[in-house]
Amino acid sequence: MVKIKKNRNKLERILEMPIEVTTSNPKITILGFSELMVENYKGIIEYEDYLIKINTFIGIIIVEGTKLDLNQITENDVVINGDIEKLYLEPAEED
Amino acid sequence: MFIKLVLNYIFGYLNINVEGYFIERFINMCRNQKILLWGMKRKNSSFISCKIGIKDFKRIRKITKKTKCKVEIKNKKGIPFIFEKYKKRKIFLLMMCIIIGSLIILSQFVWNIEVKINGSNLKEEDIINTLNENGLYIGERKNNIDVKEIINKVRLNRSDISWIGIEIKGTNAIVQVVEAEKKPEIANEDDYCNIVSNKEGKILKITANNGTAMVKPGDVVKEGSLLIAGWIEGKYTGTRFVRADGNVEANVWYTETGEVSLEEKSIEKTGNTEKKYALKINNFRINLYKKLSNFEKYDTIYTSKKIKIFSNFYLPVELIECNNFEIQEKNVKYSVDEAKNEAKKRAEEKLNTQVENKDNIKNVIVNYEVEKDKVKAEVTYEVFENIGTNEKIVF
Repeated sequence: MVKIKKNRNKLERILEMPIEVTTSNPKITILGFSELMVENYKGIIEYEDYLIKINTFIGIIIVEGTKLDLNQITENDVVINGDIEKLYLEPAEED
Repeated sequence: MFIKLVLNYIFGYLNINVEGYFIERFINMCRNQKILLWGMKRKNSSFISCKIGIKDFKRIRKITKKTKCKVEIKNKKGIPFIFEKYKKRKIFLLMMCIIIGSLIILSQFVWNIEVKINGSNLKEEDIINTLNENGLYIGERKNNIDVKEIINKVRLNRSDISWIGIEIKGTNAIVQVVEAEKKPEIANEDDYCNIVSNKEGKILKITANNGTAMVKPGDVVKEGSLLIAGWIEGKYTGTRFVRADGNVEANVWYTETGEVSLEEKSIEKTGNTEKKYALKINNFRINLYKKLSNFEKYDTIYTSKKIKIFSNFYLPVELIECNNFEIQEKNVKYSVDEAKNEAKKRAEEKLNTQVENKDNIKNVIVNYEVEKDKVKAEVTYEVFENIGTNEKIVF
């Protein structure tokens, strides 16, 4: 299991290392209204034509729209294509 | 990512349909085992289609068993599958090999000789004949052709060519020829000559620079009669032979007759044409048509074309095009005056080929002769010309 790490340490902050590389925070990139890329994700919870739920280390990303395709699924990133209408972020409850 | 997709295309990929109720689990397990899926589309609640690499497909079986999904191959794409397709079509492959092989073999030969002539007196057929004799002919292997040697041979054989260049492009041999200007014949100055008439005519003026004039102005001479003799008679020296030199001007008569009968058949084209094609391989001819011509009477003109693939790759196949022109025979009735004109025209046409310089025509005499059913016209041209050629005196 990957160790969940939320913040950069001092050295990483001084060197300005990117957050998505050094910590387990996801990077969400939206390109226009039709492409969305999530890096640093954990898994896919739900995949339907109109709804995609992506699990990350800090919570769940919910994408709503129509004709949603998972165009690429690799180890580190997932690319969603389609008409994206809504994007919800649900932070996981911290214990 | 893009490189991965290209690699997958090279090694082959599959379009698959996955059916089951735990598709999200299936996707996650694929991700954990580092199996690349792309182009995923949801069809309905329990059905997705996606693409997968050919090597990953073998590993997918365990996952499908665990998640209880059904996997169905929709189609196979990529270079390995294209090869697989053509492995079954053996005849197709064989024919491809034959065609490529025959192209390579055919390209080793010369199939066309193109002659570009710079000059008016040279004929294409003659040059092709001499080329054939000297080793450049249709069907010769290109490796056997020694261009320099052929050029040397041709230049030795023919004196009327000043320059010849041979260039072999593809299966086409381009021959460029430049005509040599004819050297004037240098008559041997030591020979004794007479000047002799070469045409029939009436002498107008005679000037003898050397020798004795034998005719006077006003005399009518025949072909071969002596004009200026190549000797001088002196009182004391006796007869001395010289080379005759001089200028003889004369009126020369050319006559021709034209005949027209009052009822004649003339041939006219109706304008209807037919095109037919035939193939000619070496000397073997294949007609590509079955029917005979629809016309009752017709003229045919054959034109042959050599078939070429690229601009300079000729094949040993000729396409012959037959053009049939329909003709009609018509009866034409002439009145006497029309017949006279027509007869005169025909006679003049014949004369025009004989007379070189039309400016020198001095007089035209036309005589008509009308018979029962035809008209004859006798046309005489009186032409002002220099006559006389050198003839060696034979003792």
